[in-house]
Amino acid sequence: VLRGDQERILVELESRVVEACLESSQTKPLTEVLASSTYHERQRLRTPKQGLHASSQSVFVEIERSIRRASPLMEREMLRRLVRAYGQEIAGHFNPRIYRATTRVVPLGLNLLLNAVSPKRLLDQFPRLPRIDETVRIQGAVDDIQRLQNQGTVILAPTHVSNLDSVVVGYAIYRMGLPPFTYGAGLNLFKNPLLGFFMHNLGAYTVDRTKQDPLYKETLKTYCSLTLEHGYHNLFFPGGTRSRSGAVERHLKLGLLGSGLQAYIRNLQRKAERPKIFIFPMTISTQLVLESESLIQDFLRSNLRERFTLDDDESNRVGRIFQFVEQLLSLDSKIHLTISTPLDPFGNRVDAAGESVDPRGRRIQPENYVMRDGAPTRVFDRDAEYTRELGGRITDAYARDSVIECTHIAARATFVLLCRQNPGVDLNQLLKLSDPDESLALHEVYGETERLMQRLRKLRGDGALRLGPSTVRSVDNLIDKALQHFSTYHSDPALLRRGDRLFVGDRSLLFYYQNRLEGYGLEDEQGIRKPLSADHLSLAEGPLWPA
Amino acid sequence: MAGLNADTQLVVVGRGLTAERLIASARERGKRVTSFNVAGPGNEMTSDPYADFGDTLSVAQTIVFALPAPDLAVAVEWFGPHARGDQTVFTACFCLAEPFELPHEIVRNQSCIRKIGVIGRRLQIPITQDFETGFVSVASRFTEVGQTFRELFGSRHLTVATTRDLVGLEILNGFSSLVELAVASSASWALFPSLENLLRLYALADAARLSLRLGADPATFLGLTGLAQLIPSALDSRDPSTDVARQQQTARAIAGRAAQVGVDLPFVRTVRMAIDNPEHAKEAFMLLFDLPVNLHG
Repeated sequence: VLRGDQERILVELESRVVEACLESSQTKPLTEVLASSTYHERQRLRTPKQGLHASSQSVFVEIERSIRRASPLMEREMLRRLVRAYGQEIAGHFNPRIYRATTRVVPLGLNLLLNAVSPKRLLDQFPRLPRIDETVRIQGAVDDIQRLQNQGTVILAPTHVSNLDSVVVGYAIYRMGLPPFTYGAGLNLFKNPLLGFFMHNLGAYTVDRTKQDPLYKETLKTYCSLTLEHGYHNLFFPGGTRSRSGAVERHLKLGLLGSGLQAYIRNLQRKAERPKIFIFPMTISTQLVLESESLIQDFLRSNLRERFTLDDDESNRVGRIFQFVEQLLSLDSKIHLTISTPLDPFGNRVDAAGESVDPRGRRIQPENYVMRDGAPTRVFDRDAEYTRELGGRITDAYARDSVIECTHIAARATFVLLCRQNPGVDLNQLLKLSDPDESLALHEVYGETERLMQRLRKLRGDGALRLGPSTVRSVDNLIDKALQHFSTYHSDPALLRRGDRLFVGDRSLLFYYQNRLEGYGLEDEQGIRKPLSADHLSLAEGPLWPA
Repeated sequence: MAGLNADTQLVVVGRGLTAERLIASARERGKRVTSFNVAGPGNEMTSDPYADFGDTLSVAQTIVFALPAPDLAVAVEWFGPHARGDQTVFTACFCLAEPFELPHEIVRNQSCIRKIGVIGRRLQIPITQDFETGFVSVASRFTEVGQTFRELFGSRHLTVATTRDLVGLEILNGFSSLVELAVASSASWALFPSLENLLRLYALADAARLSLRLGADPATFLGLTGLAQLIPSALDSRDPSTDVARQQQTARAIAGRAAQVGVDLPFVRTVRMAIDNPEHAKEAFMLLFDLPVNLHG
């Protein structure tokens, strides 16, 4: 967000949030709002490693000191100061000079990095050096996003599996020739001084997920809505955090997503020149995931209860990042970024001309959805439901446009055989059982993989998913390629081949990679019970294969 | 009969007890109602009955389709091009379409309408000879849809229960037709007075298992919401619009969907057997009663 706009946005943010609190003060008095904020802040600070925020901390001290004897006027002033402080914590700004320099340097730097970490590849392919644009493949509705960004404001909503996603998506935005997007980044990413500098200057605003204060969340959503209203394209990760289980997200955080609708209604109310908001779901698919070991351990340990406390994972270790990128290249892996069909804030498909269409492809007038007594109006319950429907369409797109690769297929086929080999055993036990001699006959794995491939090809034919290039090979080649991937990056690979038998190494990793195929209804045919709950956030109970 | 009326706020499409009651309730409340009294045996809609159908519906604020699901699909096909995002559509469908598609999905998949309300069976409880009170469930994901229903059709003698569980209510609606069918089938050999209740119990167990598998809210089957939909289906089976062919189609649709999602439905299976082999209906039901009532699994 440019400096001039930033100031306007912060002023409007303050007045809008305070006004909303005053409007609802009949049901929720300001004293209660302020008390709730201080309570949540105290709770937050009790959790280890939570830093103080200078801007809001002094306000909290003052609120605690004077809330008991505060007059309504003072309460209002305290509220105003707190919202202002929150706004300053959240706001990021955009420095065009730094953006220009970065976009010039980053692709070059990435290319050099990719070549430097893989000398073998460098020698093999000299003088034609591998390029990042060959590794990152952008597909899907690229033309649509390029065209529609001029007709309205774009929200790009990718899946999230790794901390590298922001970098990869940022690169994709640049490569598609789009203007820079503003985006919410977790506070942990700002802790690194160098990364923090770039984040602050390249349009990122801060999202502190440790803050549970409803006022903070409202301020964040309103900030986001204001950037959209000012025409800044936004990037959200609607899953809220990286998928711990490895499965495609089925459960989205709808708060920020709802700011798209909020901005749309505001745009209609003020008769904005380009009121439309276009939401582009996007999937990021890779054969390997940098932080897979930490993520799945976190998922299994806490069952997602403490998911945002994962501060130290592979993405914070430079050596692992290099190793990961090197393996990615040496194995000729691709990162697939698939942009899905655009949606409006109600979840309707948007056609090539930027018009919303109904399920039968007939053009409709989306403004009707928010009309009340002839005027566009915000209605909290109704709008929340529209956003839920939008969330549903986004998760559908995630499933449809996920690119399934050899690692997922090999892990799935082996996991199914492992379940059958351990009847009556639930997932917890299955993952804990670590008999080093337990193995599977390779021909059985090939057979199961073949059956799975047939089903996946059918699903691809129905448009239910995408299959990556690593799957277009014979079953034995596919398994070999997957084994190569597992063994070259992970220290304790998910699968290992010895002779004509396949040994399961890190079962959690096996589980992580197979989870990418959760949610496609494969269980019924394979005869196993679903290991994840329907929202992919927790483990299902009971044996995976009947005793 | 219908007629184009620019002031129309409420349109009721259908013929049968439910449509008649809704029209009467709205008129009692002073609402302006346009009704399309769909012609043909069993309310079949095979062609556009009125030239002004789409135009009338396009100006309405609220539309009620009191039709079996297959006819609903035809009606919504005509309505779809005229639909507006700010309209509210209610469905009152007690027979399901084959292949299985829930009524709210028909509306959702063929039009831009979002504010969809599902009306359940209406339970009439006679208090005195001249006075009765009623109960009806309305399901919608939008709270304002329940309010709209109360405003249009509510009265102090009609209790309206609202729920978000469209799937649960629609499947219960479908099962209510099967209970009707089972009760009719058992009429000639009913050996004990509580047989109807027993049939309802088995139907409820099947409906609960299928609904939960299809994403319904378990709470729907914990209390009165579920029972209230099933009770009138048996007690109030004198709906003149009852169409056995449609009920049989409902049984096939439910059985087909259950097979797809791997849910065993002994009650539905028995009803189908009784339809196919009426001479062995009693035997089939006796076999059903030997089975335990299975609410889970």
